[in-house]
Amino acid sequence: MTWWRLSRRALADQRGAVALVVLVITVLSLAVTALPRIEATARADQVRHRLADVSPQLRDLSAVTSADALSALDPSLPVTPEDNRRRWAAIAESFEATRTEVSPPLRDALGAGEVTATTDGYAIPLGPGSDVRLPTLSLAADQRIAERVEMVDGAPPAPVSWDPAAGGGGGAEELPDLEIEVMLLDASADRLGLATGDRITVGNLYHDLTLVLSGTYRVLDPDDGYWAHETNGAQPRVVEDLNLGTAVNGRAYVASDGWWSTLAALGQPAQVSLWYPVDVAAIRGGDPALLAAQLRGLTAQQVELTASGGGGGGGGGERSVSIGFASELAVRVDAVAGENAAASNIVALVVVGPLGVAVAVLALLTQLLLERRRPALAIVRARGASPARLRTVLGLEGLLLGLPAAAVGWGVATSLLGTSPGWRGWLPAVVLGVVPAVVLLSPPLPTGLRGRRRDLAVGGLARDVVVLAAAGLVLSQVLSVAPGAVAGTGDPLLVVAPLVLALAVTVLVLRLYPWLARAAHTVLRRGRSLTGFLGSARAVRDPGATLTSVLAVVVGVSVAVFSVVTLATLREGVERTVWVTSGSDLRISGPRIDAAQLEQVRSLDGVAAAATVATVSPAILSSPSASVRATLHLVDGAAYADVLADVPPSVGAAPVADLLGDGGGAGGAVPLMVSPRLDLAPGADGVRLSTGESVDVRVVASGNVLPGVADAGATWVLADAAALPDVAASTPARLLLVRLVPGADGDAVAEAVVGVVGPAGVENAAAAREAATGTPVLRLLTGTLAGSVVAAALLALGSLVAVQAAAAPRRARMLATLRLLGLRRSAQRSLAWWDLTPWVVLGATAAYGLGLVTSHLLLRTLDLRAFTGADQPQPVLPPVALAATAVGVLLAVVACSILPTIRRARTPTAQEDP
Amino acid sequence: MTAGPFVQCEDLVRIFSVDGLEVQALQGLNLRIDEGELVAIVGASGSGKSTLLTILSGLDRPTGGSARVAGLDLTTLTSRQRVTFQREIVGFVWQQASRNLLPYLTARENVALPRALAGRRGGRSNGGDARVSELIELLDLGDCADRWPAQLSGGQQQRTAIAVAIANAPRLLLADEPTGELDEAASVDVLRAMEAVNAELGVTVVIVTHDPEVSEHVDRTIQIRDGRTSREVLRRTETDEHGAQRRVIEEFAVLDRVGRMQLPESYLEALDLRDRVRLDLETDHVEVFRDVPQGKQEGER
Repeated sequence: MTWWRLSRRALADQRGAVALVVLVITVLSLAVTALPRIEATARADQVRHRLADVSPQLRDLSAVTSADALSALDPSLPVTPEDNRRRWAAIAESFEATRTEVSPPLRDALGAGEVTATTDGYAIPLGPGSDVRLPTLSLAADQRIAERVEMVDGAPPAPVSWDPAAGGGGGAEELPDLEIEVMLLDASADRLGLATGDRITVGNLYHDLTLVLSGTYRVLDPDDGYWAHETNGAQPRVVEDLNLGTAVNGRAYVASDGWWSTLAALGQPAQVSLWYPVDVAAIRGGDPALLAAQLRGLTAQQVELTASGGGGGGGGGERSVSIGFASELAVRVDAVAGENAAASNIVALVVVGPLGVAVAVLALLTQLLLERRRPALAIVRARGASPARLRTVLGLEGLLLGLPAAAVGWGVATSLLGTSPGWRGWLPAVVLGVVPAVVLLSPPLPTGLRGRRRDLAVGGLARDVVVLAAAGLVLSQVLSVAPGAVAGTGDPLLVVAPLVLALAVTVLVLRLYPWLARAAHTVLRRGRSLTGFLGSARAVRDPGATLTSVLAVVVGVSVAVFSVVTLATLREGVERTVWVTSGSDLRISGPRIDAAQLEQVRSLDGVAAAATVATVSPAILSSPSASVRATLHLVDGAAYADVLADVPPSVGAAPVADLLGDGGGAGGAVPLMVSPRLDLAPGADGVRLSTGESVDVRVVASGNVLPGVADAGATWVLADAAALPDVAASTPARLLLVRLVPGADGDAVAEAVVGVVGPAGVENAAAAREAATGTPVLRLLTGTLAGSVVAAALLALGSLVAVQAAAAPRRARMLATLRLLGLRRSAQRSLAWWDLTPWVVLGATAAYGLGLVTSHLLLRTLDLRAFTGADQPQPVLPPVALAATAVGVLLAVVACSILPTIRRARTPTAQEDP
Repeated sequence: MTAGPFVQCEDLVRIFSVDGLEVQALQGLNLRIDEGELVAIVGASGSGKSTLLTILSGLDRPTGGSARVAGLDLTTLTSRQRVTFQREIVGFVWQQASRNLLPYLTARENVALPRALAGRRGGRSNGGDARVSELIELLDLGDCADRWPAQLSGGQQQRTAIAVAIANAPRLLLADEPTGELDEAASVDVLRAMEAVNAELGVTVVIVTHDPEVSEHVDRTIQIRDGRTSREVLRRTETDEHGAQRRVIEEFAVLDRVGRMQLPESYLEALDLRDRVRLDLETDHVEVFRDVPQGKQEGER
């Protein structure tokens, strides 16, 4: 009989509980390993998603400097192709060195640097019969241009062969005329009327310069981000000027191996563009804030390009040039960072609660294991096992239960997600794996062989005071935060708020429960019901509620309510934004739309209603106290109201129909509806509107939003076109809102509408909704919220099952005794009901309220505008989902109450040890 | 090891605090047991006999007084000494099998367990532990040694428990109601087994019981009342000059160091002794009289 065998037998004896512990650890370890990585992936995806449609020109980290300045990196005069290459190399190397100094995540996203050089345009002679009035050619060079183009005609230019020493060394003015081979984009050559072999003489500073067109090229990949920087290389730059005529600029590439010599000979300035292409797909790490900070670090100050000595001429020492980078990326990244931070906040808020309870449930299960083991441990100890030995064995058993299970969960998560974490990825799983050992070792070892006598007091006054004080602190912190102020994940107090508040409610429930139980018992002991008397007596004297179990129920229910409310709020916020911006199923803007076209649109298949909007800006709205600039929107009130028929009330659309109801009005004043920003009360006196002519108006109502037209932030004024016929006649409508017949294909209808009104901007509400809800982070959020409801429910259910399992032996003994005394089966069920139901119902009710309160408090503080547009959404209480949550809780309680009576066949009878 | 009684308790006090109430289980108990004795401790439920046994087995500490077993002071044992004490000096048997035997070990494995805990393992490799086999033989468990506790009869469970208790050859065997849940035949078996352990292995045996049957099997019966030893009954077998044997039963009241003693309840009732009594010291005995008013005294006599 070895310790190992003893442990093995003991664990095998409790294989049910052991399997449960192992299962819980495995699942938890999987969750804690996977969730951060899923979140990181979603954040990185979000960054990529948002940055993907930023043009390379705005996105890439680019700098422009003069060729003169850059020649400081290699100051010797370039003569031979070798010299030219050396200078290119000096620039490229120093530029590359700067890139390698950047740390991740930015470095991962930066591609190899590009360097191109170009001069100002040289005016070239007008071609015969050409419509081009101002033809120019810029000389340009790029060492790697050959990789991006193919020759259509002729050959690439040869490097210029020119030796400054041959000119007698007297300076640029003594140089002979220059002849330089260039190649041109085929389209540019066509536009400028040039052909391979043409010689173009242009004036230079002191002498003539002859450009020989050695060939024409074609761009290999026009979508390459390179050409966004070098637009003139991929297409001729054409500027139509009504006064000066057409100007066309072509980019003439000279051989890069002769560029610097040429430049020296020409004595002309040239600018060099340097940029690192940003590969959005390569952005890893998912921390946009860091990325933005890195970008700012590079763009906010001059960056030194440094070339080490060596090479030809200049001797040793370091030479450097400063350049300034620019990129729009940081601004865009900031926007994503806001979204990601808001999402992280919610994810953290939602995850911390269930995670805390999960660990508590794990502890509960392990305690159960230990409790069942207690008599055996007492025997072993009494027969002479030393406490140190016993603790070692228990600790090893705990590790044996925990670590392999945690490793399996970690391994499954890692293999499913396919990424390798650093040591931080290990840490949560390892911590989980150690929990059973800690729980097994934390209580004192059992000593006596007699059953311990329970103390009826709840105990832990100090604990309760600490919990309530912490809850007070958290609450005051949450209340002190301005609405929508929390953007970053910075505030740990907010993150733990749901858990701490749940703990406080748990403590209150534990304190309140005995009083209620006693009150119930006082009433029931006088009644005739035996089960009522016995059950309430048990509820008073042997309550099943423990801190962990009540906490699990409270957190489970409150997290479920919080998630349901948050989910509804987010969905409605996104939905509302779509309605506010689109106003209808299709929003078509741009061209003038007249009445005939409108009628045509209305007659199209799939169109249920259509309305046009004409906008007059500015319009002056003057009241006796002030006059303000506003934007006047003219609509056909009835048609607009019809278009808005599907807009949900939560959007806060202005009550457009009111405009019509009041048509005649008092004294012929024009009925108006105004934005809340204008601060005009309905019925205000002496208000006039001027748009050229001035008319008396009467404010009928003020409403928040004109869907599809203006949001609450704008100073809009709405009037029925019929009420201002003169203004309407002189203002064409340029906005068309279309409501579709249910089931109609938005894209097809939009195409038909464009066919009627001509080229126009089309916003499809369905597509906008899809785009808004389809972002990686919003998907993560909705997934986490939905998952947390399930996880919270499972945990609460799991803890109830654990509580029932822990109470099983005592209940079985009691029922065995009562059966001997002739208790009916139905009465046994009622008694089992008493074990769980009273405190769970109390806890769940309190938690339901807590969930509603926390969701209001916390949603107020979180910045959700990243998802919902301009307005911070108000918490939404979805009645159906909340009712379903309540019913779910009830069903869980009923299921757990029935559970022990189903298992009755297996319970032992009277002989069990107390 | 000091000379003196093998088990010695002086003014032993144990107070439990339960739900804020103090329960005095032992109220200055005195006890002496010599090595090799077979003693029964009897008393009504709640008289403190199980508490005494828990203290003697090293599982609990007294609140006051002293308890010594084999010269070791149980009130000052260190954790390490306690382990040694439980491994080498004391073995015990409780009323319920679930407190004696691990349910997931066979009878033989249960017997081997204390040997393993004490580091005296005779693993499978060397053909098993001879001591374990010897004990199984001694306690007549050969047929059921490889069964689980749940498959054993009550008597077999208790005999296994005795084997477990003496597996490490302790000098003292404590048994708390070992026959409490057994029928008469099984009880006799278990008590005979105890007698055998006492006689053949020389182990001092203390049995706590309220079973009057047990008294028949022991030399000395100590009665506990209200947390104190109140009286002792000695039984011995005398052989007269004709070779006929007879049981001699002598009853004693226990006197503590300061002279306190308890009168049997039947005496108190018979003579209506209450509140106080009058004592007269004679040359070879003490007389106890009911306290009666002065005038009546002569007449009463």
